[in-house]
Amino acid sequence: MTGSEDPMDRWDDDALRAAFAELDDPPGPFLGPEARRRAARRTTVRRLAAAVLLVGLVGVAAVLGAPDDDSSLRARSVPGAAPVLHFDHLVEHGDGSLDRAGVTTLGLDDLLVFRASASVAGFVCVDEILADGGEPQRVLPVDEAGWEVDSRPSNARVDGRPAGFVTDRGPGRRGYRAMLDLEDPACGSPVAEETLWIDWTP
Amino acid sequence: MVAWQQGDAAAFDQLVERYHRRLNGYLRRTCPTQEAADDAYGETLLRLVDRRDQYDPSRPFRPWLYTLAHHAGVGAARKRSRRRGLLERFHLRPAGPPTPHDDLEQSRTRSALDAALDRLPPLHRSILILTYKEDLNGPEVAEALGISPREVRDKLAYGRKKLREILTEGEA
Repeated sequence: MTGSEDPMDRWDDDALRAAFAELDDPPGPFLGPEARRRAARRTTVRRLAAAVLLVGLVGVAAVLGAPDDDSSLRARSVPGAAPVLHFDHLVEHGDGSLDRAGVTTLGLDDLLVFRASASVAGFVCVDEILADGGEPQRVLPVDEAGWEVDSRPSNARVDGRPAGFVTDRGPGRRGYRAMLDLEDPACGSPVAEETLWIDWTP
Repeated sequence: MVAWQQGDAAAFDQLVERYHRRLNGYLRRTCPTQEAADDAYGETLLRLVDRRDQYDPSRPFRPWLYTLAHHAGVGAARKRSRRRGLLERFHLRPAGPPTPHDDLEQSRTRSALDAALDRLPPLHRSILILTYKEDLNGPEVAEALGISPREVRDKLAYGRKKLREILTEGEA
């Protein structure tokens, strides 16, 4: 080495590649068979089971406790009229901030919190509709109890707890069709429906 | 991967066997905590299963794998952060366990390099690892991280310069 040589020259591209090649890579926590088992389990409990995250209780309490600025949109019962379903959503962003209905462009890690009310008491189910016309996929309910609604807006719940939906399909435009059934928690005979479209972006 | 797309479960197992260490190493170095890295590792494999039909066999596999890993890593970090109510960033991670069979010089190099990487911003760290460790080219790194090739070039130049400075400083 000469006196004029820059010490940083020791770390040329070849030296960096050699050093990186020596980095220790510990084995993964599990391998292929376990991954396939977990994937199968996730499919079994439907995609929502893996995509549901608990919404921060404080955030939800704040929203639920706040004056309901869209109460004028609450479904109301009119004698003799067809049942009315009102379906909207909240969005919880990655930074914990919340948006009420109206935001329809979401990041892949945003939580979509479904809300619904109906002019008559019943059950609401939600199907995910693919923009390319594929078979709709049921996302709610995830259990036999179903999602009970009435004239007061309520957030979708899973296992009795507030829940947000996260897509696991990547970017794209997808619809969420809510159906109201007066008796069947699985919505076999819906009497009203409403669809929300969301653009999931990277 | 093509065999896996055609339903060969053993092919998937072989694929994981081939890549699990480097995938885990990448996530350990780019996620803020080991818990987030473990979450991201699991999510990457689940996405490999769920999205196998989305892979284009005419394109190289590893950029696609690291695209899944990068998104899983970002998502896992955010979810961990959300659960804890804390803001976490990608600049801290637990040191990896030493391997007993390594000689002293290798250990020094590895420790110095890992420590140096920890001092870089997360995106620069990812770019350097994918470039120098995984041998991805600029467009492949850009694809994996969802940024432009120009950004890769600029951040690689900066990251390489900083890494050299830190490593040289450590030798002084």
